[in-house]
Amino acid sequence: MNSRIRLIDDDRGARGDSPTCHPFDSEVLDVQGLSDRCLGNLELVERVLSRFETHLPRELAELERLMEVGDTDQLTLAAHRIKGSSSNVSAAGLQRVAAEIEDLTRAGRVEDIPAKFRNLREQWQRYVDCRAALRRGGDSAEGHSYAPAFEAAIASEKAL
Amino acid sequence: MKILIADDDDIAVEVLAYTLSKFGYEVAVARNGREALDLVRSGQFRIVVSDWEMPEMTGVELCREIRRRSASGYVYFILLTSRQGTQSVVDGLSSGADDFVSKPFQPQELLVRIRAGERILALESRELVIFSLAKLAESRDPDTGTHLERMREYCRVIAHHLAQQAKFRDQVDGNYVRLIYMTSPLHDIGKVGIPDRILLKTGPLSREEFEIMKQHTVIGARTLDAAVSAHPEAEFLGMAREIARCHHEKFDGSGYPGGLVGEEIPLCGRIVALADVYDALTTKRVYKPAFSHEQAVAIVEEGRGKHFDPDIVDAFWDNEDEFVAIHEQLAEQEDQESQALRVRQAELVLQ
Repeated sequence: MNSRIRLIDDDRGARGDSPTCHPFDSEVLDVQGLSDRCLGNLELVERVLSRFETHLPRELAELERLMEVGDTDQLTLAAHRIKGSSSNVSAAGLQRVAAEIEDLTRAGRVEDIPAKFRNLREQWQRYVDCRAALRRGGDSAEGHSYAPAFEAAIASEKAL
Repeated sequence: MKILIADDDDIAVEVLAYTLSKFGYEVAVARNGREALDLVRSGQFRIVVSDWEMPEMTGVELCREIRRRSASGYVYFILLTSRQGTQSVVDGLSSGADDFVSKPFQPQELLVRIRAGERILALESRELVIFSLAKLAESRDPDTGTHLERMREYCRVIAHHLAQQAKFRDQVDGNYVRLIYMTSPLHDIGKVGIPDRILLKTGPLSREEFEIMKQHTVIGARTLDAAVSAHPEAEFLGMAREIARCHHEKFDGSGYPGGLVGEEIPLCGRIVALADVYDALTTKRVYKPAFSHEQAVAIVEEGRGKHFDPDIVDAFWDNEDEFVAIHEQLAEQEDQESQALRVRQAELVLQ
């Protein structure tokens, strides 16, 4: 246990004010990569994403609670879990920031964790936006569509 | 092939289980290291794919426990983790893990790594088959107990020592040590061709009977000749044949079947000759009591340059503590097995 970590109440990212980003940025969610890793099984893709979306808010809340009580050992584990589950669904942005938090907790740099936690919330919001866009049909302002990713996934399943 | 997945992350488990099933493997899941250890101990799983961070027991701790306790064959262990960096790889592999795969895993990469594991396990299966054949041949002679187990350990110790000597460095390497460990138990396989009235005779053999007994070296080599012809690329068969033929040759040329002298005798034959005699001396047989290690050492020394290659005797001298340790360890195992056998027999009588 380390000293208590003060959480700065400045999590605009979690409330939807995150910097705008392209919803199909593969750093946010690499649909094609996930589909490849699921051997093109789109039902499985959808199932693991839904499960991830159920889990992650709880994990974020737990991370936040641990920051408040200053339990760095458990913080390390919580950040590691988020890193792992984010990597499982190919959400590289979340994975990267969770890894940074894990590194900070291991290094004992607790004062830098709240700012990183805000980044993590921003990444989560970007992910949520991306998924919402995918559910709407994938048409973005730039005319992109997520459909090719899924078509490619279907093709790869047929190829098996 | 059944694969055990050990991971507490539902998403990782779901993707991994689907992928491995799709590749044709039967999959079981443990949610923590302790549960995984229980399943591994059931003996059903030869391959484990484990997460590193898990509740109750981490993947690294799980691997260490498996290595510490493993008694029913080798378990191929793949650590799956999002940890990065050389130190993590070193830590993971130091625990006894065979391979290390980064999360998120790529299915094709995981598949080739599992197939590499299957090849390793197949090699072990080959060794088991060889050892089973040797045990089968030995089973007609009820007097030898764990002779084969001790023999191969003695051979390993000598070969390992020679590998570090300049004179033998070109001939003896890690592969040679592994091969002699694997094939030395086949030295007496030709005894399957010796009639029971001679093989199982408790009194001294007549000259004629001894001539027949000596034929076990030729019968064994001839049997293995056929295998060598069919698979000339299989090094272990070649070594097994040399051992079967030459383990009764003596350094001064007074041995059989060929009366070979000195380095005409293949090195593996010279190694097995000493290991075989030392074991025969230090264990009880129907025709003699067990000699002490000191008595056996004196007899081996007496045979330096006559029965035994002086270099092999030197290797024996330099490692005699290890010989004693092997003898004691396997004697203890033999006692336990005999006791377990007696208990089983008693239970059968009572049923």
